[in-house]
Amino acid sequence: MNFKIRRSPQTLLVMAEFLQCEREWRYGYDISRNTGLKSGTLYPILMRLAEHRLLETSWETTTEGRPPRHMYRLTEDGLRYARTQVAAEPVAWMGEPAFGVDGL
Amino acid sequence: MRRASRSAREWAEGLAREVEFVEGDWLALGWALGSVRVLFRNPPMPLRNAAEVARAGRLFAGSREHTYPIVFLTMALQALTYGLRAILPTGRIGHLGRAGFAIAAVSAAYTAVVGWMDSCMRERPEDMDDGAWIEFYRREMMRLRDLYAGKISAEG
Repeated sequence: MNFKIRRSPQTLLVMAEFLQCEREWRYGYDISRNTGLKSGTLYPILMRLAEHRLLETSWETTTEGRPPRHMYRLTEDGLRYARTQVAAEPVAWMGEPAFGVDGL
Repeated sequence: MRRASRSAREWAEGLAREVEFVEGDWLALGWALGSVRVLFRNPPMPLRNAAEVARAGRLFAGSREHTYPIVFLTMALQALTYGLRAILPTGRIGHLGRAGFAIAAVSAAYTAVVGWMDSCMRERPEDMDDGAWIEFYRREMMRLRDLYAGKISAEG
């Protein structure tokens, strides 16, 4: 796998977060809370992963008239890539969680 | 969100939906402000086949046609503004500073003219000829690579 993705600590953090529950769809805000990354940092990373087909996106189907949410999960390629990258580099905690969530 | 680039629109919509789940007004404001950066992001155009490369070549040629005149006009206006202000009564440092800005703007305007003339002189392929557009794009990319690597001058 030879993807031209900048392997920044933030990208590793996002990939590590996805690896917490590999096949589950995740919301942007939840990833942001858990990683401590703000929207302006997180979303460009998600977009870059999606451009390389490492991440797939979907719209949540809702029944209660609530607007659907955008969801993300790693593709098979993405999972393989994330596992190798995260294993190669220890993921450092970025600091305070974004949006003031305690106990994470 | 209406201003988001086409490629970022889905993401912009996703970001906007998430705001409703952010706890607290200030935090929601922080989320929204962070989103602005995402809205105007234009990822590189995918080049999966020959037709897409040819299309990228056409867009590249088109963008250069407009960029140089805009840069020239902006710089000429700036040179005029600073040039006129340099004449107005002020201290010596003020005169020097404004004159310096005017000279820099004239120089940038000159570079824009050279670039524009250069791009006009380059032969553009026939519109329907995808192969020629691919070759044109390849040549231009290599020229830019050499230019940024300092191997050729802007005129070269």
